[in-house]
Amino acid sequence: MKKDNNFSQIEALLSGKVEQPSPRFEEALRNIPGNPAQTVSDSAWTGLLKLAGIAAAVSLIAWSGLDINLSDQIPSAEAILQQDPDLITLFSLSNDLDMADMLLSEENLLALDYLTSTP
Amino acid sequence: MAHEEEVTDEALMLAMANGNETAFQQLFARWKGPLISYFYRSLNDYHRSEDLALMVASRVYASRNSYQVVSKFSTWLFRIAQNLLRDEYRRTRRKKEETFQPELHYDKADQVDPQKLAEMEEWLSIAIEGLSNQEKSLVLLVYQQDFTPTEAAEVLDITPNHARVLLHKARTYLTDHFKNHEKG
Repeated sequence: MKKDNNFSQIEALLSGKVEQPSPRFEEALRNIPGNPAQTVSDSAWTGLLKLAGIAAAVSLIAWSGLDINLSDQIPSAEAILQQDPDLITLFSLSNDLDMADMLLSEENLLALDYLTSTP
Repeated sequence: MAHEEEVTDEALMLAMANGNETAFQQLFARWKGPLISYFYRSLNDYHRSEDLALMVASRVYASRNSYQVVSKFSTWLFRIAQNLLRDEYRRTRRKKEETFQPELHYDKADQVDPQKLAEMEEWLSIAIEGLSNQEKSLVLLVYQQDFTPTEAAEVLDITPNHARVLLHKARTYLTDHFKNHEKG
């Protein structure tokens, strides 16, 4: 691929890499081996805990009178998740507790419909 | 990634499966910088980039017993990274107002006037947003991580020809954007 001088400069810029991560990162990295919180099965528990949080948030929204109509589309998120380990993995992807945003997107509701209707 | 007289990444993964936990630290001493850098350029959010790099590390560790050498370790590693990034794009639709800028080491710094680097960094953080997420990943895999277009295509699950077309488009866009920026 032919290079011009402008792109050489851009390429040099793109080559920039972080050499020294933060101490917080280094400590977390050191703790991964042997840390039960980082294993796959335990991340599933984390996912369940997050979902319990989401369920609570959804209940709160419903209680507050907002007409989001989630109850029709997710009949029983907890029951579905207990039966479907793939979904637990899906919902364990985030480190944060802002999963409600993910659940409320149309795309994810469709994915959830698909996953729950597939035998 | 070339490592002089060092154990290969693939061998370190197999050592991890045999209970050698030092292998995990050795592996991520190599890959933490590239992973954080990849996420950082993609998201322009340094702290989130470290979080995602830790998630990759965690998944690699969790996969140590099932890992099989069917492709280069780096390709497998960046497929994990790419899946997390895809979810991140979908999930957050984030505002990009990161203020913290990490210190970067430029492999090809001799091609740029050092005084110009800071200005160009600011330009890049804006210009790169004009690329699609797929183009952005491709550009970073090739020009930051030194993947060949074919290897990058494997990470992104597209054909090598598709990768070359996207790469050409992205290069043209970045070069034109830069020329316009230079003209002021």
